[in-house]
Amino acid sequence: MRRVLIIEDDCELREELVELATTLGARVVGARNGAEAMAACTGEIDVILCDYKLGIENGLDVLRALREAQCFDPARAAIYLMTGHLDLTFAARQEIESATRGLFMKPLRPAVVRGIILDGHITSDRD
Amino acid sequence: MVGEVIDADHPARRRWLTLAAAFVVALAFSSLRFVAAPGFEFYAGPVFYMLAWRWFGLKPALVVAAAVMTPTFFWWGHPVSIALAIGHVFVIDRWARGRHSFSTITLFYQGLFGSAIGVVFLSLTYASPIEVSAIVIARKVLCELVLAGAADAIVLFFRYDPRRVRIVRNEHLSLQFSIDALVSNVVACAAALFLLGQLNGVTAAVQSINERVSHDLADWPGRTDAPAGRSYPLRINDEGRVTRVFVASAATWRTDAGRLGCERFDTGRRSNTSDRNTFTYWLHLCVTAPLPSARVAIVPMRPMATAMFGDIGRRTAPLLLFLFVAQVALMVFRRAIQRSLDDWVVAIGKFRARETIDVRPTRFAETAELQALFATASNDYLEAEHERARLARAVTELRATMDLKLFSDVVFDPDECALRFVKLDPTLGRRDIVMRVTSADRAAFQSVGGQNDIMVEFRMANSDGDDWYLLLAHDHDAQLDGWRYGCVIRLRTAKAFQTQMRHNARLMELGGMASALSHELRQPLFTIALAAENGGTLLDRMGDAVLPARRKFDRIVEQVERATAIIQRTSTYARIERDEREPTDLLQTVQNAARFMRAVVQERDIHLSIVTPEALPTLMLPRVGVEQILVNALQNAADSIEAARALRVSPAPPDRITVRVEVGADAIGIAIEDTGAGLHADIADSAFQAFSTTKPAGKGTGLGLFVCRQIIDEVGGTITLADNVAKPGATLRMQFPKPSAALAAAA
Repeated sequence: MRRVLIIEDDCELREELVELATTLGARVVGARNGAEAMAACTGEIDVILCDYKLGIENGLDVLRALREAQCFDPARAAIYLMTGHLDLTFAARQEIESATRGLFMKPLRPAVVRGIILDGHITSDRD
Repeated sequence: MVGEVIDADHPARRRWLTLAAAFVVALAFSSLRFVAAPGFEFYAGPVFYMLAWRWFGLKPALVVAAAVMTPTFFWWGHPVSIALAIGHVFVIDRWARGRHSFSTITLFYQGLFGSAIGVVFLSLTYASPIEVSAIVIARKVLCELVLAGAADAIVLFFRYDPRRVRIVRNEHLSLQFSIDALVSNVVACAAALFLLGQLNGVTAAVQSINERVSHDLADWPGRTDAPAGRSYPLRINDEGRVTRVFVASAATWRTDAGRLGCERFDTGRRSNTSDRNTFTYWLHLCVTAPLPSARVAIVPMRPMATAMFGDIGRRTAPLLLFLFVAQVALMVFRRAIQRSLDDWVVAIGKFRARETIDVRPTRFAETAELQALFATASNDYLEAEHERARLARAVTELRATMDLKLFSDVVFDPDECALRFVKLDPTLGRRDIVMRVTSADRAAFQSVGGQNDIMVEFRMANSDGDDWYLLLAHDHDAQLDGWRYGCVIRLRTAKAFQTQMRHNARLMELGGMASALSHELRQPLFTIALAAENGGTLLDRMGDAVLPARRKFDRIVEQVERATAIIQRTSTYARIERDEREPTDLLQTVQNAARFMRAVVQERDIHLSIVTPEALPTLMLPRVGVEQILVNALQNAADSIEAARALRVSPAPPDRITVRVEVGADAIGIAIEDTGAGLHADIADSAFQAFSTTKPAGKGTGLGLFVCRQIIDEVGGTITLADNVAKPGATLRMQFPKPSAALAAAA
């Protein structure tokens, strides 16, 4: 059974994402911010889907903190970012490229979300 | 003629006498002929008519030509030479004027036309064989050519001065005619000397043949018994040639000789030497010898003479051909020189008329280099002059545009809010002037009171507030309570500038709006899409009865995708407006923004000061965007001060906005500090989010700082907003990476 961690500050969106993942048969934990993610993170996590803008926090910072705390297995977990912002700085783009498997523009198509959760190997949005 | 020189100051009679004397001398010279070789005679006539044409014109030249060529009629008994000379004068008059030398024209005239006439004339009159005609014509052409060369040389060095009636030396030699005269003379003289040498041998050669024929007749086998009335072959010893001997009876030999074309008879005696100088003598010569039995042997020399002349002609022909070629080459060369000189004339004409000189390629290396130098120097000078004229025009325009007024004793009267000064006018003298200033600008004048050098921007009280003036004054005088000297410049561009700034602000706002909307809508759209998907999954478990509802959920997902596409496009447009980077002078940008906001700031009685370093590196920034950030920041600061005032009860010290530009280690910072209400701690976090505002409803869109942050993010900078430490108000800080730092980040 796949274990999925969803980090998203928007309550309604997080609920829908968790429901979709659950329907697909995954064991899903939703987190609202960095602290909740840290608490829910385990070495068995297969997929992390994280929002770029988490209130005052930044998704990249949260992911960096999780990695530094070694609470997930980098060899096992597939990490994805999603955002509604178009204007990322050059430095941010570089970090996203090295730290994640991909950045998705919101709104993601439900089929893409399914792909991420089921096999963790979707590398691009076909939009 | 050159010697016929008389003093100046001459009565008309003496002048005519002088010319008449010259004419007589010319005629006398022309009457002489010099026999250089058999059939080769020199005479000076053509030189005189050519000089006459050059110095006196066509009509005198025609008269001189007729006169000086008359002796040829007496020498040769025909007027052909006179006619040819007259034609020669006309041809010279048509083609010689400053373009061709006498030599060139003479060669072509005599070589083509003269020789054609000669051939016809000689064959008709003397029945000359073609060999003899050719020699005669070659002789004539060369003789004329030598004379033309002499005339060329004379006119090169001398000219006729009609005022002084004398021949004077030319101050300058013509380059092209010097070369022409030199080459023509050398070639013509060489050819003439060659022909002379050939012809000089003729007499001796024919004489020797003559003697041999006489000798051979003595040993002729038919001497004793050959019947008269017939011709026999005669072998000439040593020569290996065979000619014919005619044997006539003594009674009729003269008639027979006439039939054979014999007009002269060589009987072995040396006689009639002068006749030997003509070609016809040798053609009509026959050798006679008495034979036994009342017979006479007659040997015509004609075949041998003809063969000899043919030989000479063949030897001379290549030289004559070379003569033509040399003349043609000379003509080409002269044209090239003329063209090169014409170019100089054109270039100097353009130099005088102050026009641009085009450098045409010329054939001569020396002149080409000089011409290019001259043209470059002239064109450069011309360009510099045009530049000067342009500058002068620009200065005039600038003066007209700025509406510059100069005056003295500048005083600001705060009670009446008026600027008083004395206008200094060169025509009207001193005039006292009063300019009423808007009350909004009073503070600006008061803030500079007492300073020695001031610079104040202000508006007139009765204007609509868009026309700005700049007062520059210096030398503060305490007694006067004003400045001794000053000037006012009307800033006419103010209105256009303000309009442009407002337009930019609106565009920026619109772009920000589109961008913010699209960002804000992405999140709910995502939720809707997922909710529809999950709802659909739930319905799937309920069987076919709910299939129509299931289709509705699918439609929701589709429509979300459509909305997403629209948002995608909108965001792209919004970005284009701001993403055009250009080299930006940050100091200038700060001043532009301050200038735009000055009206607002002064109206609210806020003191705006700008602190900048001397110089800044030029940055690649979206200039308009940065200008808008600064305008936004200044507007926010002014609004914040206004809000703080509303809360205050007691009067406070004057409110200030300070803009500081600082150069750090790897970034350039701009800080905008105000003395306003400051921030609430919980607002500081969300200040840069879209639609976030502390202003009352209708006062702000809440997009200002959102747009600012987007722009700064794009150039890799940072923007922060924080309360001031230990004093009221807040400070907005921006950092722009320095060019080298930006490059390092990109790498």
